[in-house]
Amino acid sequence: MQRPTPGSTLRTGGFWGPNLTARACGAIAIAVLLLAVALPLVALFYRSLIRDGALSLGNYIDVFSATRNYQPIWDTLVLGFWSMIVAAALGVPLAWLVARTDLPGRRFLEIVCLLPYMLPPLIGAMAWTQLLAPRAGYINQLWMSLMGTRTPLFNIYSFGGMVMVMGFYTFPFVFLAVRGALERMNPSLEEAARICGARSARVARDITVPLVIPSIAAGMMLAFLYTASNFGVPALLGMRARIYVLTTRIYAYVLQGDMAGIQLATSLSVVLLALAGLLILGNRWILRRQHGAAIISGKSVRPTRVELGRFRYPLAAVVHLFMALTTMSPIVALFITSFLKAWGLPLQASNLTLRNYQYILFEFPLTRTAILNSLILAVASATAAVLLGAALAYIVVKAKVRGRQAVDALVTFPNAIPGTVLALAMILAWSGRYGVNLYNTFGILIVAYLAHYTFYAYRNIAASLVQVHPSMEEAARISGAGLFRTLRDVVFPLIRPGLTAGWLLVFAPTLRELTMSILLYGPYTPTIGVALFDLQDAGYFHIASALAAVLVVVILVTNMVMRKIVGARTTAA
Amino acid sequence: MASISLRHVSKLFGSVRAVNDALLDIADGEIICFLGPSGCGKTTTLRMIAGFDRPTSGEILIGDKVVSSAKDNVPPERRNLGMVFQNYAVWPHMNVFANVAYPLKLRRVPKRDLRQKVQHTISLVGLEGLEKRYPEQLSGGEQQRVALARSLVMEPVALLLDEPLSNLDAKLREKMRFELMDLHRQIGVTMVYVTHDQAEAMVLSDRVVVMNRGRVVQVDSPMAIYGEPRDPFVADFIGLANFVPVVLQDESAGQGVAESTGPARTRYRCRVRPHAGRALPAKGTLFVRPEDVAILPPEKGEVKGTITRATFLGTRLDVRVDVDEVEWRADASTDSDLHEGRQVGLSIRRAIFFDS
Repeated sequence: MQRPTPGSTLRTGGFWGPNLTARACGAIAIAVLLLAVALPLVALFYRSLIRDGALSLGNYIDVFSATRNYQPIWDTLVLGFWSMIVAAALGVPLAWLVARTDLPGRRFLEIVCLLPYMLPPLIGAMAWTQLLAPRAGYINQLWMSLMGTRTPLFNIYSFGGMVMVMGFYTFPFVFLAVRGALERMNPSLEEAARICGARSARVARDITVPLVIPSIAAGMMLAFLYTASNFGVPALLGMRARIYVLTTRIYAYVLQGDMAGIQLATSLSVVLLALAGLLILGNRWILRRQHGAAIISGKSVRPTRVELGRFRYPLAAVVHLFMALTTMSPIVALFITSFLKAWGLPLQASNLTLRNYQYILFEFPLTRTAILNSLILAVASATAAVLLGAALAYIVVKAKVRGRQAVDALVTFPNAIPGTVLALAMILAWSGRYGVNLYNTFGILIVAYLAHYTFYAYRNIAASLVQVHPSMEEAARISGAGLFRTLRDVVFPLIRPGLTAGWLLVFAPTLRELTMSILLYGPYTPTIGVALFDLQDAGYFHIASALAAVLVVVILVTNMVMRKIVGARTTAA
Repeated sequence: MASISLRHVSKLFGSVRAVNDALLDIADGEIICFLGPSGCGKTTTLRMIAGFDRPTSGEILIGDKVVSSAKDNVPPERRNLGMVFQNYAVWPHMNVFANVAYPLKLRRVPKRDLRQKVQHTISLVGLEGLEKRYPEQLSGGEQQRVALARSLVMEPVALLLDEPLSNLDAKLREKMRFELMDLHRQIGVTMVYVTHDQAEAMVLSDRVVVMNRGRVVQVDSPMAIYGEPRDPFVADFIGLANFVPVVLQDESAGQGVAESTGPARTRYRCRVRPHAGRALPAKGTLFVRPEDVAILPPEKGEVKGTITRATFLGTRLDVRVDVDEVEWRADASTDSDLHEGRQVGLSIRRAIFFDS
């Protein structure tokens, strides 16, 4: 969209033009970005190479010479691999059913598929525990009483349990990628093959599948990345079975509290960061290699849906039942537990109570503080992220300064960095070593959230800004409005939906953040995520469930509001 | 190669009649254009011939075989047709050679034969040397040729084209029109062509099928469609036209006299299609092409008028003349000295009366 704009002060002067205030705002935004992202990451790299005050590879040698250090690397890869397989096995068929068949209830399936996308896997792990904890899980209880046995059906505290929960929580990545590809694909590509003489199975083999494979692969890589970055699931389900992945091993080392622990955690973090980087590069590479041609779109032809015929209703029943079981039943179990006087009690009216809610909301200091903290943190981070994101988006999209690609990368990349790595980098950079100590304060949490989540606000605002044609601003300038007046009167009203959506997109995930918070919270700054984790880990399932239930409701409401504003079906936090 | 027949074909989408009782015989080797505004049912008709949509009633024959009826539908892959889509639908994951070879591969043509036929077709559409290219490395016009080659390579019984030139720029579009004609001259395949571009339809087709709101309005040679439109829709859709409200006063043997409804009650001689239910005097519209209006000095001509505007259009003058409170359009040569306000006489070479 490059177009010559001779004489425009906005561009000929460039961003570093005559307006001093504008320059100051831009400089501040970039400085914040450097301090929140670049400095901590540099500190992380640097520290991983320092041993006894000298440059050395000793830390890495330590990592690769002790089983308890390299085993987590291997386990991360295996867990990521299998979750990715489960995600593809679920996501691909569902995407095809929703995008390309006349299966009844497709709209409902679409929403159900996005549910795990909105809720954090931590809640998934909690919920599945209610169902499949070895002794007292609802399903295991049912199984044992039906079969008259004392061996549970399935132990959630296992590698298989982690794979299952992660798979259920990452399949939307594959689902969304494949559904998008199937819907975007021009139906005439397939019709052309039919008219050439190919039957539908042949069309699928020669045309549809080859065109969708890159999207499947890209979705699977995201599933892998998401799994490798996740802390909640392996922490709740794996540590009890002494299975450590990178995130949990790093956590354990940080918790150890001494220099040696931090040192090893730092090196392991760099390994995890490298893994994430490889996955992101792979994802980008696949998407870029995708044959982009033939997108010359003509009139939209009605998408040809496969008629399932007599399989239509049986298949619908199976699919809906399966989706209900995997996505809804754990949540239902969670809600049920939240009304029980104690976990494990049979479901009877006499055992039901609202006490848990009263307790977490009004009595228990930990949860009360955590809720308040998380609300403050989420509002502060979302607001800061929108301000920062808007300034950066304007710099990148409108002012077109030199080096804008670097700015774009510095906002985008941290979103893909595992939270554990980012949190450790924050500790290294901001706990006094470089003159500022934010440790144990809200400050370090906000900086970490900003680094990780500003991307959501930035992306949405940038997308809205792109829509604002330069002539809109030019018309305001020629009418006599200055830069800030133009921003206020023209640009701001036009991108307001993007700003609101950006705010909510940061608010929702920070409200329930666990991975970074668990490493960064202090005695006075526990968050909801931390409280959930601690209560669940300590076995107070009924109280944890009540807190989780409140969180689920808040997240769903936030998402509904967001959908109303953005009007898009697929945006989710 | 084969003829194609549509017998009382209708297609309903819900309660919308996309195609309404279409009746048409396309001769073997003919080029037929479906022409009409968007939503007139031309693409739906083509898709029914291709087998992608099934008629709600009526039947379609290719050769003497019924391929579509309300009961039975031969799937597209068994019709042996070639089709060029509006967006070309060239497969992005296959190179030019693979795209063109695909229909032969499906037909299990032996390798040597296949290679030779593909090469022949590729050179027929002028793509030699680009066999290894992928679609993203091709221009729109080249992709178009790939689509064309792919649809011709297995020697289809007929070639269907769905607005194939609408994505090309004006110059290329004109060039491709003539190339398609040359191609047809070489291979003589039956061609069914959908377009909303009247110039394209005029240049290419043996006969034009004008459609409007799901109905076939007129099937005729391009000349007849232009000169003898069946009704005001066809007259208006193709070329420029003057429409003058008139009352038919007299008719005999296809000739008539119509009187304008303006204050001067100007009388025009015109052609009248016989119409049993017509009672004189009959209200209607007089249809005259601008090039059938000659501008003469004021003392000559059947009608007097005043020039309101004369616009230079390069090869000719577009002249607006006020006659009896109706604005007429006329064509004049650029060397004539016509300017605003001048009194002129008009002579009308050809006028057709349409009942209202």
